[in-house]
Amino acid sequence: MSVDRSTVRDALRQALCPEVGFVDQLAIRAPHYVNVRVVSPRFAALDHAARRAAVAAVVAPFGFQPGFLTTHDIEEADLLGLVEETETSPPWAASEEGTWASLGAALLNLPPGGTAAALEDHPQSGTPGKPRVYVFYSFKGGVGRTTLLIHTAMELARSGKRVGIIDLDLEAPGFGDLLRWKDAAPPPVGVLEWLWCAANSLPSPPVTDLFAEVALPTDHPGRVYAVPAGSFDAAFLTRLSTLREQDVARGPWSRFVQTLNEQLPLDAILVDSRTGFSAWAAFCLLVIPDQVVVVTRPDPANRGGVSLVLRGLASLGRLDRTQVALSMVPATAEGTRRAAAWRKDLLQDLGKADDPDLETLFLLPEVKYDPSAAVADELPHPSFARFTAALTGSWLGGPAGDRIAQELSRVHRRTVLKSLRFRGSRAEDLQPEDLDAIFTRPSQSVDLLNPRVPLVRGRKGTGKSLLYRVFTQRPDLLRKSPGSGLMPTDTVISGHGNHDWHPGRGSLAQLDTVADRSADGWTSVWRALLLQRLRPLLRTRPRSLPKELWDVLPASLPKPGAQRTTPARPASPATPPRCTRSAPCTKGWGPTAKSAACGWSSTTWTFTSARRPTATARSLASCR
Amino acid sequence: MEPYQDAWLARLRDAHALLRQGRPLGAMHSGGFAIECLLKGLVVATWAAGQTAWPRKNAPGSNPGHNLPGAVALLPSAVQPALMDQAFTSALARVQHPPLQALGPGSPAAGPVDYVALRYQAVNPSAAEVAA
Repeated sequence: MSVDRSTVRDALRQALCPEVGFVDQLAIRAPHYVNVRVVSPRFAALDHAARRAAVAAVVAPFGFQPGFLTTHDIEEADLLGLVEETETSPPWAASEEGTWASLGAALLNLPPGGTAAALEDHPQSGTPGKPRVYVFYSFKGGVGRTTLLIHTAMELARSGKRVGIIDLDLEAPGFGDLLRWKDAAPPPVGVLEWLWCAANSLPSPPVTDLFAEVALPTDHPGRVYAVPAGSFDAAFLTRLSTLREQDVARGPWSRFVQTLNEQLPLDAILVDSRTGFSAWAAFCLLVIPDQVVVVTRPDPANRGGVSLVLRGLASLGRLDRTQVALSMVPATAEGTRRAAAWRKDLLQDLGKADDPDLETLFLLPEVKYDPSAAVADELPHPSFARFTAALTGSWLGGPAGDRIAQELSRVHRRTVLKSLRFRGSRAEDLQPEDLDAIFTRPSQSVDLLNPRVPLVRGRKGTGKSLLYRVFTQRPDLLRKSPGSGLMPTDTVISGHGNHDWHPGRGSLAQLDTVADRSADGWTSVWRALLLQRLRPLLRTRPRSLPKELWDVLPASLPKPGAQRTTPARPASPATPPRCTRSAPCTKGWGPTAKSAACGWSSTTWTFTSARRPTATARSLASCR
Repeated sequence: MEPYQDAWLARLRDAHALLRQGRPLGAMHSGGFAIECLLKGLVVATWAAGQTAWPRKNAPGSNPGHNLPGAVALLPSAVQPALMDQAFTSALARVQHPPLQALGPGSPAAGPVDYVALRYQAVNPSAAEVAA
């Protein structure tokens, strides 16, 4: 719905004051209100209710109701000295700017209220000498927003940046508790006190009392300065209850940023925002940012709110300055699936599911849920590395390579080259003791080694699921295909079995103990499980299989897999199975799926193992 | 619920009529009520649909009585910036407590006389004070 304001005004003029009187100060407010001042001779004998009804009758055909009305007859207007205002807004009209109401109006495609002089410091343009402001917003709390902010600040510091982090989660502050201070003491004054004094025209405390430097790992050349909300005392509550974000938006905030930047020149400011639809959240989300990171967990509680916020930002044309970070995604296939479904649903909400440009909204990698991060003593925790690298990379203009070039441009290249030390020209010549110097551990390796993460490689739509189905249900088709590599005597076993047996808590604990002791870890368990499923074909326990494992696994597993398509063959030492492979598995309960953690290339139908190669085949070879 | 929006204009007319008749003291008295009704009318207009009475005494948002800045404080934050500027607040203070020399001897010991208490006064302010 788009309504021209002048259309409504003309209708009111024509109906109520065609000759004498006037209509001015007209603003249309979401969802369907008209605020207006009308001076009309028709109001002379009417009380306010009747005047309101007269205005309502005019605006109703446009789908509006009267909101705030000022109605006068001609005599009253003379008494008050009212004159018609030209099309400039009253002083308070601009105050809708930067509130949730402006977002609502944008969503309804309503015209902005008045000419609305923009807030003094909106938007921060990131001009030279003015640090860019990045706001971390979340609809619900407890999604890891503050943790991501701190890690992002540290990542920026790793790239040599000077970063300020400000706690504007004033109604639920506390990032100071997550930080380690370099000088062992948090700052004595918080941002709330400074802003409150500034908004009330009182002398503000010195800005040097506001921040403290955060202790960083030694390999971080940059700096992180933190500005907490303030110390928790009675004054904090008093100031919070009497400070309006709108007063802060008109001057104090930009003065604060400027003062802070003069004191410690900053490359970036990261702001921890209030959550939900609170007024301070609107301030953080709509007034101050150059860039917004919406942090959310892919769960139903966040769905509606995040969707509305994103749609509002889209209506304001700010989506290009917005990124969505999916955090605390369960490190399981189900978690990944949900995250993907979330992205898809949100894009559909935005009505632009097919717009490739919008995918930048979701370019950031998911942050997997890692319980150890919650109790980590040392920051940064490695589980955020992938995310923060991608996020800061997108801000600093390009991938890590560009950043390295950027950093190198600051120093003398000859010095850098001289400082480099190479221990050998070929990695295989190096000493095993130098392992850490030779290899780095990318975050993907954590995923790969996580026994709860099933891994099936292949691009979307290349047929992973089809392949799984064919292998487990129609291996006969594959046997006919010469390119499949599947021999007529091969037996196909579904990685997750037929759900006939799942390990209970007790046996899982026992398996865990065995896996811990075994050099191969859980690989030996999966191997054992596969062999166990072939038990009818085996006479005795293979020597490579620990006895404990043999005992833990149930003695009466179903007959060898793929029973629906391949009948079990009688055990015969003369004709052992030539080879048995597990099919890639994306279904079923988590741990067993690891047995299917082999990569496929669906075009050649050959294994490209992403884990220990053909563990099953090797174990079979040893059991023969 | 009192019809504040109508009352404010009625008191305004009274004030102007008194002023025209050379009764500035009465005009100040009536004008104070006009402003009070105007502010209360604005407050009531911001109430959620369904609320038809002031919250009980001492509850948040309860009737500010004749305290004009108290009524302003009940207005939504969106209009506060417009109402909090120096010119407005000092004008409001003059309406609340007309700065009249003539009120000195008769004024209560508790403090300056406000527009309500003007009803107990008899001496009209001087022309100079009215002009001020």
